[in-house]
Amino acid sequence: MSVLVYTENWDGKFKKLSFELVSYASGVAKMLNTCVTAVSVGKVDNNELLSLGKYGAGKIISIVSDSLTAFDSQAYSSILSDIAVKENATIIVISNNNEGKAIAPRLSVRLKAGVASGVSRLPLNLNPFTLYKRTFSGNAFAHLVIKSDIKILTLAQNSFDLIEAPVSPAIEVVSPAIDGSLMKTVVKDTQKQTGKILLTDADIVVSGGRGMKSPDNWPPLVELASLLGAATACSRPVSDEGWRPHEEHTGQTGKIIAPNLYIAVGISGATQHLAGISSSKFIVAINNDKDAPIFEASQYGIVGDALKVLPKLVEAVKEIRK
Amino acid sequence: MKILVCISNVPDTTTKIKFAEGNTSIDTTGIQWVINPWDELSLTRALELKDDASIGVKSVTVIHVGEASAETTIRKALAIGADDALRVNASSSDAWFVAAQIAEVIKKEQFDIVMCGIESSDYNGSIVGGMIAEFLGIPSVSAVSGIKVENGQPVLTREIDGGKEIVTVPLPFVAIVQKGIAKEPRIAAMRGIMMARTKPVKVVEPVKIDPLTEIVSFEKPVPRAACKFVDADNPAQLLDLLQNEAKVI
Amino acid sequence: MTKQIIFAITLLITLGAFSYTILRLVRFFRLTRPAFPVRDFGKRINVMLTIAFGQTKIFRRPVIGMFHALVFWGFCVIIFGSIEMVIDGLTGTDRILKFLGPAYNIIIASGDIFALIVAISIIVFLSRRIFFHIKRFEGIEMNKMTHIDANIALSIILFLMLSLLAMNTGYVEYKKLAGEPAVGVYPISRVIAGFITNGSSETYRLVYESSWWAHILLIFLFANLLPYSKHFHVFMSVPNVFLSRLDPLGKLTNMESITKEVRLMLDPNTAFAASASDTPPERFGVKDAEDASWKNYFDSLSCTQCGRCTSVCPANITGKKLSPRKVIMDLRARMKEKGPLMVKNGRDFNDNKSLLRDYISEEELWACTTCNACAKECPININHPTLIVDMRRYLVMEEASAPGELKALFNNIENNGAPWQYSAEDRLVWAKDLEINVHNG
Repeated sequence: MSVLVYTENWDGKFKKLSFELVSYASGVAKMLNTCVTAVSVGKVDNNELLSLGKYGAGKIISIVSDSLTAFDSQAYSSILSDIAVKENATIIVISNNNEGKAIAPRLSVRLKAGVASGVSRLPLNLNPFTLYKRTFSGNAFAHLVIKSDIKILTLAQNSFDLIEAPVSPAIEVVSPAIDGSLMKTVVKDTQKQTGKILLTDADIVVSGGRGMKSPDNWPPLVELASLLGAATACSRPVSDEGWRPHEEHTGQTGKIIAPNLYIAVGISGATQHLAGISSSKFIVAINNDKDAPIFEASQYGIVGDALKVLPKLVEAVKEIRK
Repeated sequence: MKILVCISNVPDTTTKIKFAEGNTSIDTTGIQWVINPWDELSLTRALELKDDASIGVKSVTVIHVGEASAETTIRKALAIGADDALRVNASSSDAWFVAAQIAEVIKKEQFDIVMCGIESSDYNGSIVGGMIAEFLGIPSVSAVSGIKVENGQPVLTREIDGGKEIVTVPLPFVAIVQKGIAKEPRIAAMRGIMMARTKPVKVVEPVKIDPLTEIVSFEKPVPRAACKFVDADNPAQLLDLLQNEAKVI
Repeated sequence: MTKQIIFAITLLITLGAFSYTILRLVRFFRLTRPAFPVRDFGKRINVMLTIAFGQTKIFRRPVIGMFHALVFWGFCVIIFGSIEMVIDGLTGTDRILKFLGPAYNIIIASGDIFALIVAISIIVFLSRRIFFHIKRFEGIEMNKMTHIDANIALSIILFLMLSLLAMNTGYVEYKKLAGEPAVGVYPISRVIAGFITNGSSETYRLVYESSWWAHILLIFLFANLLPYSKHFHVFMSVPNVFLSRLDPLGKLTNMESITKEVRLMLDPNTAFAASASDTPPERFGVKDAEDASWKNYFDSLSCTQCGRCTSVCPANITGKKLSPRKVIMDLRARMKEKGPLMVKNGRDFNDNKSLLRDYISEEELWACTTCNACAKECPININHPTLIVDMRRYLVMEEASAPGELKALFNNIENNGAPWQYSAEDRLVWAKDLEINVHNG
């Protein structure tokens, strides 16, 4: 009986997301009086693996295999399920990000393990095993009981704080034989943006809506984001009109994010948009309509013309940075 | 090629969620039920692929696990353009149950591409699609934002952190689709609505499956503090609050 | 006698050609769909008297309108003389209508005066077209042919008036020189004759005879050219006004097939199953020429391409692609193209083209604000918006094709009972502090 946590890496490096997962897994392990085993796939060097120990991973299994040429959910879930069985894992913690969402359900069928997806707190109860989970796009939260012996939890991004619980982990590097028939995905092409802060990783996000009136008005917003070290986002009409790239669209059918701070400029706050940002720790709204629904969801607000307020805000940030 | 689109029946996004029976279930009075928005986009893309005669999609079928009350939503999918529908006559207890039922149907009916929305707007699970693929032992591609068919081979675009990948997988497979799969959902034309009345909805009885999870109660999100307004001429005050009170910058 | 035989032959040829043209058009009309029952004859006669004969809508542009009204009234008067010429030609009589007495003199004198007025007006129109750049006559739909068509028609009318004046002048002078009384009163021609001093009676009789033939032959020619010209409105405008749609502008037609379908959907017995007797209706809305109503087609044949509709269209004025004139002209052109093919091969014939998209784009159709300024402005009561709306009906009801904002609106109305994205529960928030009795339907 142990807690297994799958820590994704990006070009051999872990991100804050990976450490959040280990912190969460450690929290669960503590409740169950057991230990945490982290699993990583791909070439990650020792020092990087050891960093997982800072958050409580007592054992780290690093899978290195040349046959894993691309991310294939069938192949990955097969590897992880073998390890879960070997390690006698009863709880498996995975992220609720793209890869995690692809792996968790397949793993569930292999292990006959119930899944609680998008959890943001440690289990409310151990018997029955109850999780607190987001439903109805954030309009309600459910207490979900997992009845199976093995349980899979996917953790919502940026919902759990990093807790240091340093241990010295044992590292095991394995190169399992991978059944060729399972590795079916062929990658034809990869297009990656470099340099920009990823929206889903960002702690601070500055987002613009239709109230910005025109794509030509974006420079002060981009400047504010850059000064704050923030990622930029937008509402759906803005991406539909082509003012901003589709990757920036946050909302129910766009990206669902949970930054520490979300600054909504010229966004009215339609239900669909709020569904994408409701898990943000703090929301600031700038809108010239005092009755805009966004103010019901935000903690701080300025009623005013976004195009006039933004430059003043930029100046104010520059001032305090001095 | 035969395409199967899985559809969920969910409350319209603007519905104000209320609880019933001591917070153990959702109060369904007055709820307007709609097709899950991601499933709507998924169905739209499937129909766009069918519209292109050179691709050779023979039919687009929709499947739903639910009770007879979901018939209106299923008819809407037919009105939008699906050729026929399957309904597994059972209340959808949890993702495991739903995925297992759908997998059983697919074993009998044989489809080339199964499309699922990445999540449903009610339980935000993101589970059913992947489970169906594993039950059937076929590949699945998740976070799919585009599907094309080139020379008879489906080519998928999937979102990765900071970009996208173009991938191919052999048929049959499950595509778990998200925003971008179609520009906007198709609406039902009058002609489609009329024809929907004559399209077949096959009802199948469920196989015996025990759900692995259960929702025992609901609660409302913790209400947050009311918005603190800062004067438009004094943005420095906002920064002060963010820095010292919220401690986020 | 010879004159009568030749006349009879030319008349026969003319009538034969004209009947062929008309029969052809009737076959095209048979392809179109019903519009509305023609009733309320009292109202219709009223509309015809004010708008057609009174030229009231033409006077909305007062100066040029006056010139047109004069030309129209001139035609109305001169036609009596033309009828007399046909009877004279067939029966060999001379001025057979003179039995009308003083009324005859008034008619003939008015005809003579109007001949001059119309000639002057035509010169004004031609000069305006040739020497000035009139914005209303420009547009993507106004190609070189339309301008040539206009100039040819105007020139023929000018020659008709000149030949009439020449005929009358020749007549009065020949009669005077022959010492015989002239039948009828010719105020203008007498003045013209006064300026001419030499020539014998015989010369003038020749002038009279040749002008007579020139005039009547030009009429025969003109009559047969008109159905193929924008000037078909000479024949079509008065009937088009009589057959006006009498509903208030902006009132949509109800679609019976939709009413039937909604009833079937509301009835729980038929909502989810089709009965055996169900036959899907023919196409919803208008995609191609044969889907238009007979009145739309009548409108398109009557349209004189004056462009007053486009000049008041707010979409066109603000740079959108829509031109109401183009929509009507396109229908006429498409029927001209597809009509013969359908008559030959059946109404279902598909030439892989359509009025929609190949002639009128979706962008034009969706640019319309349905303000009805075009219909209000049209001097002969052409109703453009009904055709535009019917084409939109095809797009939405058959193809589910609509701009994104409209799709969102349809979804909101379906799900929230309102065009916006608010919860159905909040529907009455606006009435919160008002003293209103709310009935929950």
